[in-house]
Amino acid sequence: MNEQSFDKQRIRLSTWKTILRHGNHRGKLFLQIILCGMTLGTVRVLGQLLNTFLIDKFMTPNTLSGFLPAAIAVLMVQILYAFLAFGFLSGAGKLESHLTADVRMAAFEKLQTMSFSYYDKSAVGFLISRLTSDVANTMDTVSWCCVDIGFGVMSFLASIVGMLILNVKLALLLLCTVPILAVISAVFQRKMLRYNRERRKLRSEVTSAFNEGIMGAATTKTLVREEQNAAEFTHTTSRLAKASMRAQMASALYLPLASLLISTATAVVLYQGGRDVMTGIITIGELNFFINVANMMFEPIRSFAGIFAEFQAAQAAAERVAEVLVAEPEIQDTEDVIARYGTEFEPKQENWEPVLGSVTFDHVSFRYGAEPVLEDFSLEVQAGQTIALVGKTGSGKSTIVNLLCRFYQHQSGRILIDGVDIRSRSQLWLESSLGYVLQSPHLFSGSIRDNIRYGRLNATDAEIKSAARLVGADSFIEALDQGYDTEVGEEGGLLSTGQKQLISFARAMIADPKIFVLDEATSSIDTETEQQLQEATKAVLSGRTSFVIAHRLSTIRDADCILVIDHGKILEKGTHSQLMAQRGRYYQLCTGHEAEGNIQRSLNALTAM
Amino acid sequence: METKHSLMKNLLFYTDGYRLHFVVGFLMILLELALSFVTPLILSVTIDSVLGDLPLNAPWYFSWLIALLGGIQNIRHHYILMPLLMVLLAILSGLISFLRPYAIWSAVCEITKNLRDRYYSHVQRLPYAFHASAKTGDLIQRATSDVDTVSRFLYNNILEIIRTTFLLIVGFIIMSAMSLPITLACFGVIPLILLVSMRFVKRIDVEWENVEKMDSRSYTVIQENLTGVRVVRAFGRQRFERDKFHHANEANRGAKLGFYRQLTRLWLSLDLLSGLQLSLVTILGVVLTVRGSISIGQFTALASYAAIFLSPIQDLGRHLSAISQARIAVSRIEEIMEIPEEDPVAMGQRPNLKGDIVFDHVCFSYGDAPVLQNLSMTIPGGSTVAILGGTGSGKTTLISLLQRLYDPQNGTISIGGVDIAQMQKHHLRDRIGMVMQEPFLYSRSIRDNIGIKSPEKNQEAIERAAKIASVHKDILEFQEGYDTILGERGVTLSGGQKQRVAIARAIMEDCDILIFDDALSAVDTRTDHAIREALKQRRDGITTIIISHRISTLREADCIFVLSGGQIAECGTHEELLRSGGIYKTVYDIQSGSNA
Repeated sequence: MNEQSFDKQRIRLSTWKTILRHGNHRGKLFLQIILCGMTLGTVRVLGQLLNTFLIDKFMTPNTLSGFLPAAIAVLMVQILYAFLAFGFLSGAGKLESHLTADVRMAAFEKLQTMSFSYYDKSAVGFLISRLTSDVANTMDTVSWCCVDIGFGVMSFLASIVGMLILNVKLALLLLCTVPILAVISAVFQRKMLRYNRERRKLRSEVTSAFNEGIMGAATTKTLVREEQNAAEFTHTTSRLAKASMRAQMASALYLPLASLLISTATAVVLYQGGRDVMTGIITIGELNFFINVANMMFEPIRSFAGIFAEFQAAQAAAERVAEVLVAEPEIQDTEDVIARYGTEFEPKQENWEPVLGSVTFDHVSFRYGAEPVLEDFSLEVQAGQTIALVGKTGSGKSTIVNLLCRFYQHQSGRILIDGVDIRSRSQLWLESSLGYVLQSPHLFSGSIRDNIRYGRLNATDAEIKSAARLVGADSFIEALDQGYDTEVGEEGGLLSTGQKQLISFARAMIADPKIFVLDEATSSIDTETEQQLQEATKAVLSGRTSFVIAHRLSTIRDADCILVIDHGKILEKGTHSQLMAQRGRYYQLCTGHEAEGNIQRSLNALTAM
Repeated sequence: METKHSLMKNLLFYTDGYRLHFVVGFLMILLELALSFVTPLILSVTIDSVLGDLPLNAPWYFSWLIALLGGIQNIRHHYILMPLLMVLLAILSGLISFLRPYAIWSAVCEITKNLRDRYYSHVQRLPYAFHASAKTGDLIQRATSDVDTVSRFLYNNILEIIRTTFLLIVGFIIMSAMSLPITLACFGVIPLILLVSMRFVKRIDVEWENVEKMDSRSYTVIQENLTGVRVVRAFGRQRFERDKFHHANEANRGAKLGFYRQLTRLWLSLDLLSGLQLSLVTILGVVLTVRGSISIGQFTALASYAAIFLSPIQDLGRHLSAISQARIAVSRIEEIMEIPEEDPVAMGQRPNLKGDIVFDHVCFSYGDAPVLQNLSMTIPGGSTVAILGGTGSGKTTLISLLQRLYDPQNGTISIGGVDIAQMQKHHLRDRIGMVMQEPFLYSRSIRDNIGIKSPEKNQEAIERAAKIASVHKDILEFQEGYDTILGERGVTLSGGQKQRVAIARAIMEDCDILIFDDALSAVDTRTDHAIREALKQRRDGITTIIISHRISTLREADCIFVLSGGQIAECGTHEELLRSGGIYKTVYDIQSGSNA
């Protein structure tokens, strides 16, 4: 959705309805706002009528008899006004707070159930902004526009009713100008909103330019780009300055234009009303009423135009939010499975079978989109075996473990765990039974202890310690000032890559799964950590069925079976010594002949440059 | 807050060259203000003297206007003059409010722009040592929200404070000329309103900070959950995550409700006080009119005036409290502006850097922590050398010294016999290509990133570089291919992809010395080899320095240096080092798994 073209965006009520369905029963608040707003609009006009009454009944005849109740009424109207305003503003504040929280919660829950194919298609940064700023924007629009609508409609209607009661001719004179103001307002509100959008966009460009200039300062120095960067930055700020000016000019033109129109209308009323006073058709108090109400009546028109423009602007954000709310996960448990094993959020753990550890791939094929990734793949793994998967990037080795975890859905064939098709048990059962350590370790902010406990929520401190000891993470953790209570920072940012990897091993260890998947990292870390990781790997793999996407020679050598995968098929299969004896692809990989061949190829390509 | 940067002095400095704009702007505001006091008099005089038969009783300037229109008698005969006057005044005041932004807003836009530009280019020119230890979030905040605070202060707060002050003074004079009791009733409530709003402003700020804190907490949960979705699923922790978010989300909800509670309470108190003020004026007005001390027309004018004060006074507290915010913002900006920039980078020699690189008894320490101690080494021009060393052994420092990002405390570094201290810094850095372990890419297209340092940017050369760095396929997977803008719409590269793009950037770069600071970790051994061979082939005489932990990467170098304790512990070829059986041999054994 192109954000710049929002003003051509049509407001689709269905989108908003979808979102509001997830705001849990806030009808009462809506009602409170609308009712308070309407009463408020009426009270405002009544206040003006009261002034008319004061002028005509006390000031013109010059008498104070019966003034006390009128004086009390003056005070009461003001107090009533203040409390009604409070009622509807606080209603809007509450509505915004609740709607934002409710819709965010619903979207968050929905995302927990989505399949990996969904995450492959949507950039994470984009999803995050849907849950954060998009939800905030739409709910802000809904809540506060609701206020303006309730208040605006009623002040407008009450003004008209008041005027019609007092004098039809003057009322009609004023109403003539309404369409003109409505048109001008609609045109300008759109323009203003567009310019403001443009300004906001440029502002965020400037912010990210700052961000980049500061985060990338070292790179800029080594690339000697200081001057170019500064020149580019100046260009951006110039555009911002111009856009700010343009945005300001639009409102500088609109506001005087609108108030000129209102003044003209008031002048017309003053003229006609004055003549009517002379001829005794209306009183001075009534003339005063018309002149003051002229101003009040136009306010709602201005704000209606604004509301419409705002809803248009928020439409794109609303659609993005709604899309998350209505998305359906690609892989879903069947009704029967849910009845027996429960859902992600309400599992029936009492019905879960324990895992023994044998795994069978039975003629499994998988296409990603139109592209075949795995074809007719069969494999029999006994409980306790370690399988090393070796092959180039894109050979399909990751797909094999992803299918086992049911992160993706294969199109044909069966995958069995302990002889049972994984599709006949719940996804959560599978996820809870498998251990998975990923190439790039992801930690959550919190203490090291919290992060290890993520593997098994009811683990005791002693168990956490012993898991850390088993993978060799204990020594570095104890050396930290806060030990296990050390905060790891956002996404583990305060720890080194090696430390994060060790903790993620400990996390998997404490879960004690019968089947284990390890995606070994290729990144280079210093020798000491490297050694620790080798030990950790060994500790984790022993005694369970494991699949390792292997990069370390030591891991591969220790495997019970090595699979060399190429183009979604098993090319070679056997132990290290068997495969070395075969002198095939594995042998080439290990001895580097393959590598030499590739180098020659790239060299040829390069000489052509 | 006590600060050494005076707000006034700095604002005067920022507004230098634009002060006339402000003076003109202030005059316009005054004029607008005067007009807003004149308009209610039209109705007032109409009621009293045109429709009624009271003699003209208006301030001198209005009487003057009436005289201009031929006196009150003439107006009684030509009643249309009064409505016409109303339209005329509206046109005049519309014109001023249309023109006012040209005077002030344009100046503020420029001032803000200049301030931003100055800050940005200053930060760019600060020495490397500053950036190495800087808190980036804080630096960015100064550049954005602090500059915004200053800008808002100039355009909004100062003007409103001045406007409201004038409004009160002019209002008091004009109203008290009509009726002192009503004026006193009206102004009596003003201090109360001010007091209440000042008190609430602080509390609301606290609540708002709380909202922002809770916002960012729940945003962190969302972010960590979505970036770590694989971990969540690997452990089947959906329920746990939901509960965690529920917690953060409820705290967020509570904070927001608390904020609105305070805010609406403020509005309620202000509305009640203003209501009191308006009621007093009205009730007193009726009584005084009936007693004959003011006319009905004057009553309507006074009621209008009282209404004019309402919102400026309600807002005054907010504007006044902005003064201290502006003071803090200015001093935070100036704190950075004071830090001296890097020495002139444009002076010095610009020799060819293809010769031998010689480190001669180089010592360097960060503060008290010594990093390099009397380090001496020679890297022959045109060769490929590798450096191995543990964390903190000083590898990266070595590289930084070579680029003069830091200067050694002792010893010299020379290239081709010329001391780098004598060279022009820009030239030195320009001729040294560098790929860092965690490279930084600019948020522009992938194409621009790869070609950022090369004069020729033709697609073919860029694609070839990307192919060599084995990132071509990855790039094609993006919808926009090479035109994908990094960082836009959530497009991010993985750590490995970033490294490979940075490698492609280095391949395109025309340089004499190329450094890979642990940058080949993301590519497999084959690609790693191919990249280096490609570089060798493409340009002769290029000196390559590779920092790595991976033996397969290191082993092919002409010479390997092992760095330990701030000195060169071992050096030689792969075979030599294996034979001598030191640190290198140990590392080799671990990596080949032969100790297992």
